[in-house]
Amino acid sequence: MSTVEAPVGAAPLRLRAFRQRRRGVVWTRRVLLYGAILVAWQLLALKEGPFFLPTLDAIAFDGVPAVFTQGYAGTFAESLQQLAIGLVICYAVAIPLGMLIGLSRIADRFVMPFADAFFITPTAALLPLVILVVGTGLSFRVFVVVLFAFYYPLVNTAAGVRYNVAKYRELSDSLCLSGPAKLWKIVLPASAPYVVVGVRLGLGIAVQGMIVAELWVAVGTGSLLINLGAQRRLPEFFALTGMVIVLSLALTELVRAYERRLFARHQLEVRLDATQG
Amino acid sequence: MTRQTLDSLVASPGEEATRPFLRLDGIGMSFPTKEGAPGTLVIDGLSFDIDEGQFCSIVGPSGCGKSTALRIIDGLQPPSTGQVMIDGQVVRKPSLDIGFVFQHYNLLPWRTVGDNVALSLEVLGVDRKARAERASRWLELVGLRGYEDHFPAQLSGGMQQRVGLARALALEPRLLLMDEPFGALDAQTRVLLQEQLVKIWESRRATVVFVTHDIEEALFLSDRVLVMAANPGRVVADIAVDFPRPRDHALRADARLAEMKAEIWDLLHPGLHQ
Amino acid sequence: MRRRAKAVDVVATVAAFALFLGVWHVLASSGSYPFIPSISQTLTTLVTEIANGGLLRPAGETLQVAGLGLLIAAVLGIVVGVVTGVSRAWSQVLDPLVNAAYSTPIAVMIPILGIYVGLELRGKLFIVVTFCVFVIIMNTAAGIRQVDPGLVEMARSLEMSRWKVYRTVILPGAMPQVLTGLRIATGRAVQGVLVAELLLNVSGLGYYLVIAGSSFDTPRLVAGTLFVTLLAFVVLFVVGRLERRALRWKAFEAR
Repeated sequence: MSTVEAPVGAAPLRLRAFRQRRRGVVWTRRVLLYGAILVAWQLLALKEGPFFLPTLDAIAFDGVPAVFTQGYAGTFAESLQQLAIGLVICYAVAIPLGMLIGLSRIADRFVMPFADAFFITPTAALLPLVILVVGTGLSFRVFVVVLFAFYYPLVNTAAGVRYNVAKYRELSDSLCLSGPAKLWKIVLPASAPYVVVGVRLGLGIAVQGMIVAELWVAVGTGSLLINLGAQRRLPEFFALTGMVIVLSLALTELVRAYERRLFARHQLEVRLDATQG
Repeated sequence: MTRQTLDSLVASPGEEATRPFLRLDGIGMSFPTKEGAPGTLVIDGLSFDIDEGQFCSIVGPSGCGKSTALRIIDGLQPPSTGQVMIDGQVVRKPSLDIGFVFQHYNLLPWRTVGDNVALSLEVLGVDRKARAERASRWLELVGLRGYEDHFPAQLSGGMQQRVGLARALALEPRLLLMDEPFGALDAQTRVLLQEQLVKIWESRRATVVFVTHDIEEALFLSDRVLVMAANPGRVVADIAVDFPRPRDHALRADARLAEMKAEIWDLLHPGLHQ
Repeated sequence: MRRRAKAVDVVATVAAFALFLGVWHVLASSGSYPFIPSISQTLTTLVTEIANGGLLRPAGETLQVAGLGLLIAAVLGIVVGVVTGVSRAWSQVLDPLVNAAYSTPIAVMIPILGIYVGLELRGKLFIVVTFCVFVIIMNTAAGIRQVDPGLVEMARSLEMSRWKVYRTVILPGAMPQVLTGLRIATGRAVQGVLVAELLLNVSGLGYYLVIAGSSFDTPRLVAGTLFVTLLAFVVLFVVGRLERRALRWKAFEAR
């Protein structure tokens, strides 16, 4: 049977060429601005001296190798390990709990006061209390990560589940799907994008929390940074900081890329995450 | 209720049904507004019978309750008064004997087209190996052969609705309910899909209740048109549509069709001329 | 049915509170957690500290820094947000930077903050501003971008000057999203100021909590933490109300 409707996604050749030319323009502008920033940095570093701002070459050739030879990378890896453990625990608890909240109004009203209270409290303010309760040992950092990150996967999963239960109610009713089958076949797969958003947001906050905690208690990478800063070993400081930032960005972007694919597959609109509070 | 395959549903000419296949008996629906206050009466005293194998349309303006009536028939919505009976049994909740086609397709976007149709088969308990092949057959029937591995996002609106139709048909239901299925599509796609639907139905007759606000659509497709007015929703006319089958595009230019269309319009909007 | 649902809501919320207080009481009165102050002790301390200014004075300092930081961030953020919202060129160039900055943990820079902005008020303000500004930029830009282009066309077709188009169509249209951004930024400002006070140990509520913690003064610590929660709640509540009042007209807009 012939169809008049064409499947979506075949862009004509002329449009594609136009888009490529535009992309070239965009990258030129970016390269210009970022290059200007780097040049300004270098000039300022040369002018003010190495104890104010290290030169880019100092960072690249002194700082970066030092990170490996001096074992900073090892400390950083250990911090990451703590982060990973914390995140696994966080997601393993927050996501199922979020599903429960999304499914059951009672669970929602019972759990959310606690979650909201934690969310409203500036997490930094909780640290003195946490220290007293947990001590500064191994579990402290894991606990902090869980505390900081918990809200986002919880709330986003709940929102996704709640939304999809309503959205697919008529379909699942008409197909006589209920209970576990409905959850497994419809609600959970439908909520995957929301879960991933929560995972990504939690990831970002967890990294921030981890760093604040390490800086405060002076352990791990945090204590390294404090020492390097105090000793004004700036090339190494910037090299290490750069690594932390790059890694945190890479992780977030990785999740975000997967998230974008999921959103496209689910025909959902991507909203700016900063607008989700 | 024993299940029958689609093929055995063709009514033999001259056969008298001892009881109607689908019966609505005094259906009323009101939705509560505030605590204790009497609600808005959306449907009042809806009663009609439909025979097996009939294609019956319900035509009415927006808000007359026709979509609500369809949901009551499916068992998705319990009526405030009255009852629906299918083959003598009261409908209390949805069953797999009734297929429902939604206006906004309601496809699962993370599943391929084939898997969307297979959802019906999963629910029926068809085993995994048979599912893909049977889903393909239904897709072929609606003209989407080869699209099994596409995702809904890659299809146009008309194609997505055809997947929705295939999914409902895959249940091999005794009753097919369609809620303004072409309402979300543009006019040309609508015409094409109507012609496709009528061909499919004529080859494998099922009992269909088709809700629409498009009078011409109703006349083109059906054996019978129930005209529903609003406030409250009630049937104001029951029109037999006896144009010969198979129906084709030429019917749209038929003078008698235009007459009936005007009659129905006058029923719904007395004094206004289209 | 609706009445029953509301009753369930209330019961569940009350039950949550009851559970919280119950667990607290049990843990405090059992011998095994001596550092957990009893509920009554905590409440007494809370009231006393509020009354004698022990909490209100640091609270004032904290809020002042947060407020000032928020103000600076708002000015910077809205300007940059408008620029990136309006100009595609600037957006292409700055958006990646803004997104990256939003996602990076600002706290890493704290150990060298002393070199550039100092550890006193300027340092704290720097942290607060960096916590807030990117959220404001992103929301302002989003707000401007979602202004109905049909309205802009209509205004231009009425031959309004560029400035007038901004004033009458674009800025009011973007306002809801801008206010949302400011509300989110308020939360982040409070977070930022407490991080700053925690790590820079200078003054304010963060400092109060650190001192209470390090001297094992658990009644003050718990009371102080509760106070911070209450304060944050009040601030966000007020800001939320303001946002809603300013956006009254939006509520009638059909979605």
